[in-house]
Amino acid sequence: MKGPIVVKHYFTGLIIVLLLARSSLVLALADGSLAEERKQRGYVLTDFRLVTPGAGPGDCPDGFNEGYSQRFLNALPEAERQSYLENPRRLQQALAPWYYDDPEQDPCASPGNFPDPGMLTIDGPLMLQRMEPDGSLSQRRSLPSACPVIGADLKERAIDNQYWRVMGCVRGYQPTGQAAAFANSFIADGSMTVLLQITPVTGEVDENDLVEVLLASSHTPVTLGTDGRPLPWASIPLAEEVRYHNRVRGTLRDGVLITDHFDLHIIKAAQRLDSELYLRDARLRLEIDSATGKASGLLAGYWDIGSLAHAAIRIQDRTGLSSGKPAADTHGYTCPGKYYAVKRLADGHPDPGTGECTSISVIHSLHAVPAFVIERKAP
Amino acid sequence: MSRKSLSRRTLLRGVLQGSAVSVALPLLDGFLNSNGTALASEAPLPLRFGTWFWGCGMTPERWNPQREGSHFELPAELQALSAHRDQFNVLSGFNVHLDGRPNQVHSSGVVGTLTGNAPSVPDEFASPSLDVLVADAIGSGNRFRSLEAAASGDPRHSYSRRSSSVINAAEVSPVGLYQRIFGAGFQDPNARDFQPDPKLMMRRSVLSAVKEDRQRLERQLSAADRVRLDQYFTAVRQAEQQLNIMLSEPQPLASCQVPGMPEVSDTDTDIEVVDRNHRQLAGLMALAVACDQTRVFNMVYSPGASNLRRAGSTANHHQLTHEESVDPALGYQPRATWFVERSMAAFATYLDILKAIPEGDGSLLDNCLLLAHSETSLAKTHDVSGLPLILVGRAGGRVRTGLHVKGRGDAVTRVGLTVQQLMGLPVSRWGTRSMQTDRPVSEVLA
Repeated sequence: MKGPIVVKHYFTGLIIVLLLARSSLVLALADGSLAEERKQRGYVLTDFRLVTPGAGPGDCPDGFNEGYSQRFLNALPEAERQSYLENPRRLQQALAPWYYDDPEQDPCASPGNFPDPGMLTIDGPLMLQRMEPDGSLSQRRSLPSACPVIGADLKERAIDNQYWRVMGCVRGYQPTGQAAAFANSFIADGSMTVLLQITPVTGEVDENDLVEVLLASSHTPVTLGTDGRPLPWASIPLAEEVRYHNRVRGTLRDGVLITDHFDLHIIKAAQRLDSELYLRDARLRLEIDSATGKASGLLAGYWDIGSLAHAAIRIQDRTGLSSGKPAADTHGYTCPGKYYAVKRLADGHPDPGTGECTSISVIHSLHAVPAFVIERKAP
Repeated sequence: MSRKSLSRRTLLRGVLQGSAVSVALPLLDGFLNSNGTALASEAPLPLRFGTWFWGCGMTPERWNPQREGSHFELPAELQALSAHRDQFNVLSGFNVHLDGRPNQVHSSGVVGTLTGNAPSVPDEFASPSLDVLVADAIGSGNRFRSLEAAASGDPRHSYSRRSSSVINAAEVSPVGLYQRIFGAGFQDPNARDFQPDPKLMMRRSVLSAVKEDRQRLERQLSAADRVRLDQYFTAVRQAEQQLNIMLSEPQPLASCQVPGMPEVSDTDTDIEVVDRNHRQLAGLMALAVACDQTRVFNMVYSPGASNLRRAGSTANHHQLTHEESVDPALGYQPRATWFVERSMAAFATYLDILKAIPEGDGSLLDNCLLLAHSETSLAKTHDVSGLPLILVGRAGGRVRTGLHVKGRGDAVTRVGLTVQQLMGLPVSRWGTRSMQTDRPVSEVLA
């Protein structure tokens, strides 16, 4: 007789468990998609660009910077200037070489070898978006951040956007300029693919919103739809180089992801240019739209000056040459000018020996659509 | 009214001072069939293919028509072509797929369009350009397999290439182009006093004489040297073929008018100078086609990364595409777009010139297929998606015109495949990697 009773109790218990499970699932879905947040999600970035809000009135009281050509012309007497205006080839020759075989002679490959010609930057009070230590965003009018003292904990500071102060008085970095136009083309043309994966951390019952975030490069171009935009739900493998697999923990609460600080390396290829973005103590803040599945947010961090100099001043070509000088002329700045301005406004990671800051705060905006992130397991 | 057909070989015969004489006639309507589309002998009027290139693309919002099909409005940057509205098709939304290769700026777009392959290094022509493929098929019976001209003043401004290193260099001066076409070696098809040039006969004999020696030499060479020698003798064979053509009496052609020698002109990057030279080069090129000196003709108005400039300005078109800010009120770069509009005005002039030459019951343009293209869409970002493409002419009735066809991100190779099939090449598939296609742009096929 005992046997059937045990069986009966077993079934009763199972039914109760199933009912409870069903009701909790329903409750979870109805009260803020808790269950929805506990699944793994993959994304591919469709837009990734520097936050360059544009110079406001009074931000650049002395005007915009000038590139090599304009500086050269401005230094000439009027009569002589006219002869160059009528013969652009002569102007190009006067400013040659534009590409250098010897990096030591190249003001863009080795800007520190050259004197500072000066660069106009935004040095006054400025309304800037920043990321606070708790991961929230704020916007307030403030003076440039100072380089912190050695040993100061950067995690206790808001991450500013001092790089905009450097580039704010550059014509090509205004919202209608070259940098903004180029910003997103690198994803669409297949030069640069960045993947994001958010995985719930299980087994830590008190941390229901704890997630592991993977931000990684891929060598596979995005798949474009007929509208020219990256298609969602493409299957895209990670780059094989582990260097470009950046993992960090964070929280996903009410559709908002905020990561801890992490160092980031991603491939930042652009057409024939080839470089890497190296941010230190970066944080990602992402808002996920449950209706569309899309995500958007900000990546704030400190751009290592060595990496910045390579990627954004030298501008390494895939042929090994520096495209820095023509790029600087196009945007309207000089390479040594930019280099010294970056050093002057650097606000992160003071060198223990010199006390000089070795990184500068920067904020990127990003948008993403769902994707299947394919991790290749080692054989 | 029916028309009595005449043979194209009809001669005026008579007796002069006791000897029989004959005088050939020019191409008369009576030599054509009743539709004016073929010779009375039923040999079709010749097909021709041309390309017209301009650098630094366009502004998508000011170039791409909104509506598909035949009822589209011409946007601002295409307005200059309004007089030819019914003679061309606008093809939008066709891309060069890079397949993970770097965008070789100002190169990937044009190389991808012309070879069906995204280059891995700048100006890598892994296979012959489209015009060379067509010329090999339809141009070998003419004095020039193809002709190239560049209004921009640099002989290197030519995208007609058999390989990365074998470039069909462009003529840049109208005088140079005139001398090449109508100078030494030109046989006026309507002048009935044909006499084979003894010097040419001698040259042909010399080439024939070395044939046996060449075969003996080939047996002694390494494989690599045999390839080199083969390339060399390919050129020699083409020269032989050309000599054969020049030693044959040409057919009379009504549309062929031998022009006078143009005036010597400067070359410069100033757009006014470029425009003047373009007009002259275009006139000569059109007559070269009408006189059946070539059936494949390529014109570069401005090169990729266009160096055109306005007098008194150091910023050329290319620089402006990068340096000029977008006007917030207009939503585009006014100084850069000015060059696009001027380029299209120049293209309209080119079409005027081709259309002004009557042929059959239409114009020379009707028997041509012309592909106008550029290396980017929006040059500011070196964008190779949505490349600007215009397909002009009816190719002897093979093409429907007056349409806007949206490619919706399809590979630009669909256009190249269409061109080849229209020109009679036996090709069913073209392009590499994800650009390989077997789908022509069927909307434009008549």
